[in-house]
Amino acid sequence: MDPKLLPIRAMVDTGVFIRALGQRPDDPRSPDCRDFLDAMYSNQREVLLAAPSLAETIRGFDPPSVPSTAGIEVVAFDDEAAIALGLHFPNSTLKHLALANDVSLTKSAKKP
Amino acid sequence: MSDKTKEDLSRRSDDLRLEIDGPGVHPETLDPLATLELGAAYLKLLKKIAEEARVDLEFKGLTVQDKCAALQFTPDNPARAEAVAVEAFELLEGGRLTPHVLESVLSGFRSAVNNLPSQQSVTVLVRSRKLPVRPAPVAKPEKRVSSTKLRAVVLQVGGKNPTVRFVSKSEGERPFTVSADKEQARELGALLFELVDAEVQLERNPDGVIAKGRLLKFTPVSAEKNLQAWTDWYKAAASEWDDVEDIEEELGRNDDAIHWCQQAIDL
Repeated sequence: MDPKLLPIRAMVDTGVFIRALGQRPDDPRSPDCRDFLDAMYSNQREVLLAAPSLAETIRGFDPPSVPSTAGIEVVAFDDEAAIALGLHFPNSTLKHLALANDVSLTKSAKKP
Repeated sequence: MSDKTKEDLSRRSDDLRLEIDGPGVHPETLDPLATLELGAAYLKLLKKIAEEARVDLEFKGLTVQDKCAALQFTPDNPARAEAVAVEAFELLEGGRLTPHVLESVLSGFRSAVNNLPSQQSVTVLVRSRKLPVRPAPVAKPEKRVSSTKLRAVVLQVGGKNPTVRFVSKSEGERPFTVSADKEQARELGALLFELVDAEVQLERNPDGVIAKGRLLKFTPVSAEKNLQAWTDWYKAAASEWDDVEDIEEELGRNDDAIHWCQQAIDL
């Protein structure tokens, strides 16, 4: 993965995150997810995980504390985050991007 | 220099004026100590607010004006001086929560105002604004209290009643100060300029800026350069995902969305 193309900071969706952590290794999209997170880590970029994505990730009654490691940060998703998202990424922009890249607006990874 | 030029210079509209009004108030009748303390306390308040907001603000010169009486200061940046004076006004009015670091300068200025002879009132004039200084707050701040976790750098720890100063990208780089217990302060003292994940109970002003808060707990951020800690956590916290065949369906991300998109754009 070309480091020049990596963003300084990226927020990943649940589907990408759990594939990067080893879920569904048989899925042809999973290595890309893992490579992306590895590349972000090794190039000192920041990966953000919105708290609602963490909630989707957790499956169990007694999850251990979330690791505090440089490189991955769980961030709150509150009204201010929602408004910033609406301002910078209005739905019309997302729809055009989704169509231009042949991906679903709500699907976390491109279909094989 | 002509008298006209002197007059123009002494009434520059970009200057900030602290006007003292009242019956018989003139420069010759002022209590010099109380007046100088008032001016000094106000400048200290503005400088501390500017420092807290991480903006540079300097004043140069002092003129005593004969309009009732007014202390006049020349800011290096009039617009910034206006913004800081408005923030000071809101704090004095009581509409905003007072951050820990501003409490002493704010009460110092309030004392200086209250030390003026009775019947004298103070007004701040800056650019086109006229900001009255009342002897006591007139509003109750509307506070937003929440508990949250922030990744932040430890900037400063100390005090008899310990406080910790943090800066976090999540808060737009504006530092904030929260109280802590002595044990936390001791541990954080060894983590100066390091990243921690801090759980804090915060009180924010209506504009979202943190005014004060309390540190609940914290974890130093480790400098690991691989995903192992997260992979281990995932195995312990999310093993039930192993029973899920279709991740997107489980997450409610269905394929219909793209068709809905297409239809929406066609419309």
